[in-house]
Amino acid sequence: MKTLAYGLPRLRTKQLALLGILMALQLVISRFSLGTATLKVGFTFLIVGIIAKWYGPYWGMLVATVMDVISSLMNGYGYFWGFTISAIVAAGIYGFSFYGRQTISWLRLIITVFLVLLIVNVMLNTLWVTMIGNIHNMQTIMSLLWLRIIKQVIFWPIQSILLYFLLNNKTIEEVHRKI
Amino acid sequence: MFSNMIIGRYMPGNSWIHRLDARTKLVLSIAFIFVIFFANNVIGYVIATLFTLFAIMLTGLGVGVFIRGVRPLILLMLITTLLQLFFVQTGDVLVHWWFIKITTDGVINSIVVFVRFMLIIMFSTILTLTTQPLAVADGMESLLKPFKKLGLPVSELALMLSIALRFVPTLMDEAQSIMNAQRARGVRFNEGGLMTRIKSFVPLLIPLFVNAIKRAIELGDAMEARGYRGGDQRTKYRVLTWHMQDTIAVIGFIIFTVVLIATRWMM
Repeated sequence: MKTLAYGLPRLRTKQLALLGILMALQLVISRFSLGTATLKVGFTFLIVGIIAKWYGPYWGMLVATVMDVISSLMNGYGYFWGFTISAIVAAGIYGFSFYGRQTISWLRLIITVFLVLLIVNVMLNTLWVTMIGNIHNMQTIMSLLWLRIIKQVIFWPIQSILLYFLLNNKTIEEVHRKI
Repeated sequence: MFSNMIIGRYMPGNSWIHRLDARTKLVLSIAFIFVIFFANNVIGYVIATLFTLFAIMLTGLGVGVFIRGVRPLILLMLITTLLQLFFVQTGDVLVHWWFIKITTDGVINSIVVFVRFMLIIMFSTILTLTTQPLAVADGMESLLKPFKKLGLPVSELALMLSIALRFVPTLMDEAQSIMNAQRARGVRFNEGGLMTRIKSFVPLLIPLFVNAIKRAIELGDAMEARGYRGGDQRTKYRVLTWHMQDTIAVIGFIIFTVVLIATRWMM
């Protein structure tokens, strides 16, 4: 197993190609959303999860960095460095939890998703919003936080279930063995 | 289901901004986010707004296009702005009705939050609208070069990014045709409660992933057949060149930054 710096495993050509295509898939899937305007469910976490499972935390974090910059610039959301940190942390958590496992148990999944939602979506992202808006008012920050907590509690089971079925899907694993 | 945004939302044109080097636009877009934090009073925000409007004018695309780019974020901005309006209780009271108390500071704060969000998004949109995605990828690769010495696999990252950008339209069409195929077999994508909708999403996801893997296998084989051996011992076909106008743009931005920092001591 040859490695590059930072514990990055050296990838074969097919693995590189797949990672590139998964990045494309992430850009495509970021266009999908379910639900109403007040409660939108995105699906990009599925790609982050699968990259974490196949490529591990280090490649995952690297790809997350590039993807965050590119997708925020491309979707016209405006780039802010804080969300890049969020993306890196999320990819890291998923990566350390999922990497190199054949099957991923319910318990592991529920805990991992909980950690990501709590640390990234509730704590970090609220921090970034307050930073961008230059908000110092404690009450405003608390209400933003509560709004987010409610939203993430709803997302928790949804994300866990979807990830479970995707990561443990036999068909996908079978095809992936050929890479 | 699909939001009606074209990937990249690149608008072809031949304006002064369009002709800039992708690296310049990338660096300035990201630098702008840091610079905007220097503004801390009305004069600063006015100057930042004027600078942004001037840049938008240079693109020759019209403000309407930019306003459309902000639309997806309007809700987040409104919620944050309204919270500021209701919770900042310092300053003179303007409206006091039942439990709602709106003060001068609240209004000023809300406007500041709103303007900040707007400026950041608008300025990033300039890059999106005037630069081809592939040029952005090349620009990123070029900017990451110094990290090569630190052992970062820059050429691999650039390759993956090029593959990604090349395959977005293909995968878009694929997703659309898988959806149509499943619809023809009776899957209903836009009906039922949230849980039903999410469940209906699975028959779309699995084929997407399987197809992605199959495509990667074919692409990897084809690349190796053409002599790809990885690493960075390769030459470049697309070369970015730095022109006089890039220097002018960077100098202009630096002047703007200096002016913005100067406004901090004006009030």
